[in-house]
Amino acid sequence: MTSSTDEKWRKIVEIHNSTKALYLLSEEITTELFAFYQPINELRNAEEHIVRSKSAELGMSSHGNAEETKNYIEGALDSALGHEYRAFFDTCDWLAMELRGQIDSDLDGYSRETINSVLPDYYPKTRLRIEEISQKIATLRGEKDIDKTGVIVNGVKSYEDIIKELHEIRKNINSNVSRFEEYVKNVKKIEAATIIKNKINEDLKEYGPETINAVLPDYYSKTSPKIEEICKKISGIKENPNIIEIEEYEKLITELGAIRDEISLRVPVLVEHAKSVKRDEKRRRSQDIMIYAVWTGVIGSVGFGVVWWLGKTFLGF
Amino acid sequence: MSKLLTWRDVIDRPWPPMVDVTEATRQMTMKNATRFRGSVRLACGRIWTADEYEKRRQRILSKPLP
Repeated sequence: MTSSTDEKWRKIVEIHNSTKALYLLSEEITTELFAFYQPINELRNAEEHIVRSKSAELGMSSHGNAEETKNYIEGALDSALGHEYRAFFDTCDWLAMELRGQIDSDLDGYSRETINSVLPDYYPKTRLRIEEISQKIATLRGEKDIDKTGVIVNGVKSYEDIIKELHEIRKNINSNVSRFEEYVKNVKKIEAATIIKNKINEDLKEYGPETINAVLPDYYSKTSPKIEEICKKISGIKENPNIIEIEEYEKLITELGAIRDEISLRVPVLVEHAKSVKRDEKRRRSQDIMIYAVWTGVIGSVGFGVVWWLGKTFLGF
Repeated sequence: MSKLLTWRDVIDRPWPPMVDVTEATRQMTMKNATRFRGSVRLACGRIWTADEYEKRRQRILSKPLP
């Protein structure tokens, strides 16, 4: 065999095995365990040309003189290489599509805030890179041309590299899916904390500071600052959900819940206290009115007496 | 009438073109799977038809990432 033929065989072996590796990976990662037969069809056609080439090389088929036979063999190997190349690109296309679909599926349903918090590099780097990779794949697919042998092998290497990169990106995102869930749970806990705080405010909003102070003597000095402190800590957790452990959330929520329980248990006392304050106020007002009336009567009587005396003394009534 | 050719006759002939995989192909493959050894996926009909693959490809590639 000539060195030119050897070179073609090397390329066939290289591209064939790259295709095989990618095809095996595709079958493995495809979530629905579906197979794609287009690349297999290309491999079948490649095999046809390889058999033709080998039959000519072994003298099992006649193609003219030595020069013509050599040309026939090389032509058949070129055709085989072309089919191997198409099989490779079909497999890459399939794998790239599956990987992109899986990345989309992994991220589906999570808010931008969640994704950004768990994967801080996703929006500034990874997402852009995935888009670049998609564009690069489209460019390489456009460049594939079996007549440009140099382009073929370079294209195969580039395509293989970017598929590997896309696979790494997908693995990284997939390994963080549990953290997305954890983050969402944490956000729900933060929302739960806000709900608890609102309920506390709801419980107390009808009562003035005096009533609250009378029934819950520690409210302004200890409880209220404590609630603020817990909420502040929870806000801090929201900003840095990856640093604080989940136990911290649970502890804070439990603490806030206990405060709310304690306050809600005192609500009937607050109601009673408010009623008694109103009763006292009413009674005091009645007393005030009575005193006013008495004093008005006394002053009126005295005034009348004075007028009567003056009249009698000076005017002779 | 067509006759069976020898290997020498067919050595430079192309294979019959492979038509697109369709739902009918899948059903036929599954129906005959018990008579042949081979891929479990094929036997279970777990293969993309050409239409399914193209639709799936278009859907995935046209959907913007979150």
